[in-house]
Amino acid sequence: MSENAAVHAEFVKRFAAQDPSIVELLHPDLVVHEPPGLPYGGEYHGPDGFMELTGKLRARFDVTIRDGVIHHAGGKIVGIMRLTFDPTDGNSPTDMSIAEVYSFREEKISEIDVYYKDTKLIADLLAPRSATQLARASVSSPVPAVPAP
Amino acid sequence: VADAPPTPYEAAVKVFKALQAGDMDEVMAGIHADVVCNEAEWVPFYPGEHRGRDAFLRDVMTPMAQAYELEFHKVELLDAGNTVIGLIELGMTSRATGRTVRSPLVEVYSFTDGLISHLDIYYKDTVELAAAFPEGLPQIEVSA
Repeated sequence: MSENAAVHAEFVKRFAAQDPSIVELLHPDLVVHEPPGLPYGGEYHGPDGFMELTGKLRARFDVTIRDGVIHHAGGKIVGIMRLTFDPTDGNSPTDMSIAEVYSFREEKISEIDVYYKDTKLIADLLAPRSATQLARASVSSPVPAVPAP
Repeated sequence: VADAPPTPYEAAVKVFKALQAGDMDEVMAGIHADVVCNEAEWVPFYPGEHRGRDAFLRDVMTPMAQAYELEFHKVELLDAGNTVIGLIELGMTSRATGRTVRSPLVEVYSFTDGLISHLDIYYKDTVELAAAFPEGLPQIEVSA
């Protein structure tokens, strides 16, 4: 396993465990690119920026990794993963694939470029719901609530 | 001695050169008959899954070329063995409205028999694309 692959594997492990020592794997000049159309979209800089982003994510979702494939190419690592996003506000969870492109410097992660299969679905999932929608969501039903388009 | 078949990376480079040159016949020569193309549901063009080379040409490549002027600002192809990953920055200008969006995207290509048999496409932001191109694709008349 290459040094970058080992760093990435450790990153995934610590992220799943919500281990704050994950920052040891991040380069001081880290940049994370999230799609601008998301409520937490934009760029995050450095380990502090990364922790800010994870805080924003965990305030909105419980995220479970279902499966994934890791590609090693050209000094980068590209992870294609299928995740379940389970909103903390009680909205229905959704499965989605994401692509993450990792770059490395000095054996630390220096860039994470995040691509969702469909950012609009995630943005809709997080959109504030009307009182009517909330009332419907609170009623037990075998049919999951559908986020407003 | 017969030439060795192209590697997936070499095959992807060839397809991209043809794409940038506008040579659709050469592009489609690099696509497997049973290709599967997975797109987001919320892109204004060719949403969802497309199966087969004919459907890929009819429902993806042809209407895309008719509706948008495309400009590749960046193409970086990563060789990952039987998978090639494209890190792309694509400019799309609607021929109907003149509106332009420049979008990063990741494309993951898998290969069968030296041909692209699966395309998995991730645009940076389908929120932006859906807002920029609400008109979507025109309906294309396809002759039998």
